[in-house]
Amino acid sequence: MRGFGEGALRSLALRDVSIDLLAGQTTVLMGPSGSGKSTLLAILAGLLRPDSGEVEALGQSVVHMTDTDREVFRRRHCGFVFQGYNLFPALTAQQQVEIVLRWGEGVGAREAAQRAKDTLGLLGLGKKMHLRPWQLSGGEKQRVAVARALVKKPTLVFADEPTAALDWEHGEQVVELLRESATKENATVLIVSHDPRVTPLADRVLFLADGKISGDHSIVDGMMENLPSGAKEAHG
Amino acid sequence: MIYAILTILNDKKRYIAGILAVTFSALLIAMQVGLLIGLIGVVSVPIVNSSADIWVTFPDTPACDLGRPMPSYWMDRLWANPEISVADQYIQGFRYWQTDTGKNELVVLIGVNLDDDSLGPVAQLSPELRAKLTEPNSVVLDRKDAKRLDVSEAGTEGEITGQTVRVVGFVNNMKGITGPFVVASLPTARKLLMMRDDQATFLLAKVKDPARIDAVVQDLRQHDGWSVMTSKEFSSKSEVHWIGKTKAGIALGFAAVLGLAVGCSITSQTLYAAIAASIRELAVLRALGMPRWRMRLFVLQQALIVGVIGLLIAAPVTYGLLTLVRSLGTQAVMPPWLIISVSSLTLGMALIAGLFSLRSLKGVEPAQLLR
Repeated sequence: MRGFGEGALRSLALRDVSIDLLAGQTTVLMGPSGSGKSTLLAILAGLLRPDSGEVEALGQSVVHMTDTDREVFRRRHCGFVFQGYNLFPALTAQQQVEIVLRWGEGVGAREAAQRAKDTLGLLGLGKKMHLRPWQLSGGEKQRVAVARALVKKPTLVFADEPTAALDWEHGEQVVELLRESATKENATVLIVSHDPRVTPLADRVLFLADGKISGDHSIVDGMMENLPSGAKEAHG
Repeated sequence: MIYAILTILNDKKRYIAGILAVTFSALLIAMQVGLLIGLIGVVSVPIVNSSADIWVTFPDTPACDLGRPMPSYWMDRLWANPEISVADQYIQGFRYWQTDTGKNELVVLIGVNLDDDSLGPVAQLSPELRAKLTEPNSVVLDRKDAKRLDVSEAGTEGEITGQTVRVVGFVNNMKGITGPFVVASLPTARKLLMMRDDQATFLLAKVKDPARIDAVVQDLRQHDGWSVMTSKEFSSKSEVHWIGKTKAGIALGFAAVLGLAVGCSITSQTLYAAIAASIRELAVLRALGMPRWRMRLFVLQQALIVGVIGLLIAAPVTYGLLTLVRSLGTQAVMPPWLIISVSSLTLGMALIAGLFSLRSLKGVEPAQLLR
């Protein structure tokens, strides 16, 4: 459970939500504005603490970790893509990516540069890695942001409205790239989106309304199917 | 460090205020201290211009211009020391110079031995001038001070203690701070200062082996009734005395603190605004688990670079200003220790500004990136 505000103004953003996210799967969390999607993502990713309830990831309780432990947990296991690109204006595409390795893992300059180049190359930015944000298109910038999230090969990948600022052609590319990290790296990928065009690319779609899970569907051949009720259990 | 450098180079306009604040602080402190030291340094001009290794003074004389008469026959004590090659005497005192127009001007009257082996401040005196000074009541002035005493050319007369003196020539680089230096022979100086023949203000000595100066000073200190110092010690003592006496040190301290405070607050605000502008980028890195200390280091690196660039700009500007004020007749100096101190002080200031601006990182919250 997670609420915001105090006293009579207090409103619950999430309640009685219970979900299991599986490794190797891309899950899309959908819902109208204010339904609590981003709050749920923040809690699952260890960016926010719920008022009550439990989040367990990779066998560890994220909720009960100290701030420092959660920071270490995120550093080791989590990748994030946000709606805005949030790239440093002064740094090249390659530097935006290598800074994660150098600051986070203390990787040496040469190795960090090589790994950043490899990741950007895989995302089709091989020829643009020396460009700064203002020299890149919106789609390219978001791919750099994806490279920044994936360069350390995270086991948990969270994306909050990653396609919102892009046309569908580029948006689809970005979702495909995130999906590949689930299939190739066996990562657990959670994408928050309100764009229905994203759903056929996912393995599973969750619907959230008024802070509660209102639907849970698996995607087979791009078509939505209801999950058997056994896959859903409620606690928290 | 490279990310901090790139960030500053990419957004020079944003950082320029902080950089110029560092430049301003460094310039202000360097020029003020340089001017003051130059000014106070004039006090020890006789010491600097003398070739003596050792200065013997009336007990506890605080500065070169505050000497008191002591027995000149104590030179025997100096001659008695086998390590001393030359012993000499030197006279200095304040007197009023009265011009034809009735103007009274305080002067520093100095009396020097005019022989070839003189240890007194005769470096500026040509053999010709020394010969002329042997005439009773003849004196020499610094050319820049001549106008102050209504002296236009050699041969002009003035009056000291009711006695007429005649200017026989001019020297350079002996400009006084309290009053013009008036150079005379020992007998003339004694007469004008009403000093007995067996008195002098200072006794001077040259040591055969320069490496033994300190040891000879220690030996001479065993005698009662005088103070003995190396010329360097006496020169510093004189300058420190005047810095304290005139309270110039306090004024300077205030000016320096003010310069640093202004520089620090502007630099800090500049860095604060710069970090606030990249708060979302830093928040992504926080979400990815980058530790806070990395962000702090990033801010402090920027502070250091702002400091270094500010100093690099300050260096040529200070040099230019120094040349300008010297051409205007001041004695501003810029010794290496001052350059090093000002650089360290302003870099320290920039780092403290960086520490102050660290509070901008409190706003770096990854959860705020979620919409």
